[in-house]
Amino acid sequence: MTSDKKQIFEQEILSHLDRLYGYAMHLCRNSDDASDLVQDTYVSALRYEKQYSIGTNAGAWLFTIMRNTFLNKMRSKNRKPVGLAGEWIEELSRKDISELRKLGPDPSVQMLDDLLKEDIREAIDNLPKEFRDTVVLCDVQGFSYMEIASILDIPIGTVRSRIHRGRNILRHLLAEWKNIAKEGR
Amino acid sequence: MTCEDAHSHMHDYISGELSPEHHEPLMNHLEECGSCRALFNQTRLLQTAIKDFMQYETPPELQTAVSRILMGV
Repeated sequence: MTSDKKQIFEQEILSHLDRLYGYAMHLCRNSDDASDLVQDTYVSALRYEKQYSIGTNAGAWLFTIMRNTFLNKMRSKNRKPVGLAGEWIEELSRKDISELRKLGPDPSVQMLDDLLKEDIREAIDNLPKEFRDTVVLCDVQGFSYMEIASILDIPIGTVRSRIHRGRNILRHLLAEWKNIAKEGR
Repeated sequence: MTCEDAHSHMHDYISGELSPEHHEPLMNHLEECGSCRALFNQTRLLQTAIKDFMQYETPPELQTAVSRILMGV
């Protein structure tokens, strides 16, 4: 790579630093591990820079590297990603939207007007991992369904379905918490 | 458009992924169906909250560390 191209490449990947740190926080849940993961991602990006064509999708490429780096770290530590959901959320996730509606009037209609940042973060942390990944990449990071399919290496139809269900589970989860808070008053 | 179709399409709309030919039927359905309209508004509000609340500020020391990596220091 010529020095001009190298400079363009470095500027391009540096422009994604904030998004990468956000995704690393989502994966690691603490700032020290997230910072390490970001640095490892940039080291790998430099190592594999020949695989990248300038002007193509640097964001999706870097997020794929970060996710793979994270999974390799987890494997090497023989640890499972944290934040797996409780049984009732798993049960909800298996239901279709129509089945969700059979649970009764949608309590989420009255909610969300006074949500706290902590509620949102905790609700996302409690989503089953496969739903959490897709919702974060779509709603926080702003990737398209096709880009998410590429990053997570899953079919686009699965991406769509996980985003739909993930958001529905979040709405129900937040509504449930709000009802509990109301009853506790 | 059925309510079930509207539920599916509203998520794609909020994601910016809905095909143009479905836009008008979805909007017409939301105008007519109060239940779907409420669900749509809540889902859109939820997406905005997720986007706003899940942002993290990059620590300055990380910015420095990454710059050093790129400079090969």
